[in-house]
Amino acid sequence: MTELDDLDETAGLRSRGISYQAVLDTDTHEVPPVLRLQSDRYLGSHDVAVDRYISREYHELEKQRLWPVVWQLACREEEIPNPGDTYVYDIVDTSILVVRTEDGTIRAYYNVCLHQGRTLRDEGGNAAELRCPYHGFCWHLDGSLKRVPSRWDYPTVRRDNFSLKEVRAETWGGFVFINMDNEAQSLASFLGDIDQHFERYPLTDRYIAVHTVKYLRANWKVAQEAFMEGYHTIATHPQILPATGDETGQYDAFENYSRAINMTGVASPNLRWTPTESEMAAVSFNSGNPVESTADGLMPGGTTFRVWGAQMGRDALRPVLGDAADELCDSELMDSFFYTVFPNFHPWGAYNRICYRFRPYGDNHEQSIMETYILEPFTGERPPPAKPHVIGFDQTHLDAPELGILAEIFYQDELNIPNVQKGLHTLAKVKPSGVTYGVYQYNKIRHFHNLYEEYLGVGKDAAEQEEGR
Amino acid sequence: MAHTIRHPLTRNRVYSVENDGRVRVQADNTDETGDRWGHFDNSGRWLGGELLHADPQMCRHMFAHWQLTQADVKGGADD
Repeated sequence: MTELDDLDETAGLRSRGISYQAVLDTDTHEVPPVLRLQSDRYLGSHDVAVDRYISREYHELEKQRLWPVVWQLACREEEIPNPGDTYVYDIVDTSILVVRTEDGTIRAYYNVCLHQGRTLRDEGGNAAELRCPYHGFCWHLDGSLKRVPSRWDYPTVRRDNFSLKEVRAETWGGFVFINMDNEAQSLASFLGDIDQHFERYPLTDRYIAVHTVKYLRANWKVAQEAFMEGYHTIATHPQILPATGDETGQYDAFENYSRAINMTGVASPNLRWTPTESEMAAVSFNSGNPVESTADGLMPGGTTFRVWGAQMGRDALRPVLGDAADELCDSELMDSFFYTVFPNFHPWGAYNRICYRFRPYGDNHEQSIMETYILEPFTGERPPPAKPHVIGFDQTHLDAPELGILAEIFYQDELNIPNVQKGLHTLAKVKPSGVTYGVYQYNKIRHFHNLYEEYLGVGKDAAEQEEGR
Repeated sequence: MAHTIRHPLTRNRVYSVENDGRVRVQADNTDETGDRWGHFDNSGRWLGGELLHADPQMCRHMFAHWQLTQADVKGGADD
C-alpha cells in the first residue's frame, strides 16, 4: 500500500518541506508580526461543483446577487487626478462612471443618460460637464442636472428628479472601489484589518508603471484561480522549482480576504537533487539553470541566495525608501505575498508590485478580462500612470514585453486557462461532484468559494446548489 | 550566455532554443536511452528528431524567453 491508496491525515496535511515560519526563524532582520500570523482555518475537503464555472445560470446569479452588492475595484485614484477626470468601469452588463468632481472628491454614477439610455461616456478622459453625445442632456460633475435641450418639451424633467443615479465610491490604498448597494457596509469595514498587511509598503505611494488588459476564453473564476495557489508551479512553471518552495507556501484565510506566501531561495521539496545557492540565483535571474557549473561566480561565497538576494533588494529600494529599506526583512524582499480581496481583487504585498483584477468579459460567462497592474514606488513628482495595453483573445502576454519576466510566466498560464474551461464541460459529464481542490494549498480558493456560496445563496455540492436556485 | 536549462524534475533532459525558435531537447547519456535529441514547438509538439516527448510547459518557457530576448535585441537595434 502506498500513500496513493490511503493518505495518513494525521500527518497534518502540510508539506514535508521546511515551513515558511521555520524559514522566518532564520531571517537576518526583525520580522514584522503580520508575517507571523497564521489563520489555520480548515475550509473543508469537499469537491466544488463545476456549474459555477460553465453554466449561464450561475452567471445570471452573479448578476443578481454578487456584482450589485459587493465592493469592487473600479480604478486607481491616479487615473482621475484632476477635477473633471472620468473613468468608465464596466462590470458584466452595467457601466459605472467614476468622476473626480470640482471639489476633488470622487463620485460614481451609473454611466447612462437618464433621457434615452445611451451610455453617457464611452471611455474615460477629462470633461467639464457630463453631456450625452446623443441629444445633449447634460449634468454637472456632481451629478445634478445642468441642461436639457428643448427644455419646453420635457415638463416632467426637473432638477430635483433628474440627477444622475449615484453609486457608492470609496478608496483604499490608492484604489477606487464602487458598490451599487446603498445598504452595504463601508469599504473600510468590508476590508477589516487588511491594513496591517500593507502598512509597511503603502500602495498609495505607487504609480501604475504597467497596465495590461488580457482577454481570456475562460470564466473569470477559472482565470483568477490560476493565480491563487502555488501548487501549479510543479507542472506549469517547472523552471523555477530549484529556487521556489512551491508546496511549502503558507496560506491564510481571513474575513473577506486571504493571503498566500510562496518562498524564493528555498528549493522545492519535489526535487531529487539539491541546488546550489548560485543555481538558485541563476534561476531567479532567469539566466538559465546552468547545465554545467557555469552558475559559479554569480554569487559571493559564504552566504545564501536568500540573504544575498534580500540585500540586493534593499540596495535597489534604498533610492526610493531611504534608510527604511534596511528595516525590511529577508522575507519581505524575497518572497511572494499574493492576497485576494473577495471577489476579484488581488493586490500583492511587500514590494512585489503586482496587482490583478479579474471579471467577466462583458455579459459572457465563458470569457473574462485579466488585468495586471505593476505598481512601482517612486520619489519626487508622481509619474503619470501607464495607459492600459489591451491584449486580445488571439494574442498572448508575450505581446506585452513591458511585463518583463511576468510575460513569460503568464505565457505558461495561458496554456492552461482556456483548456481548463474546455475540460470543465467534460468533467461535468463524468464527475458530478466537480473539481477536487487540495485542502491546504487551495485555502485561498476554498475561502473564495465559501464566500461566493454565501453571496449567491447556494450550497456546496451540486444537489444543494439545485435547491438554492 | 545561451539560455539552457536542465529540467529540474527530469534531470537528463536539457532544453535550449535554436535560432529559429524551435526548442531543442537533448537527452544526455545519463540513462540507458543514450544520447538523443528532438525539436519541439512552443507548446511541446514534436517537430523532428529521435526524441519524441518533451515537457510542454518547459518548451513554453524556453520559447517565451527566446522571443522576448529577440524583441529586446530588435528593440535595441531599432534604437
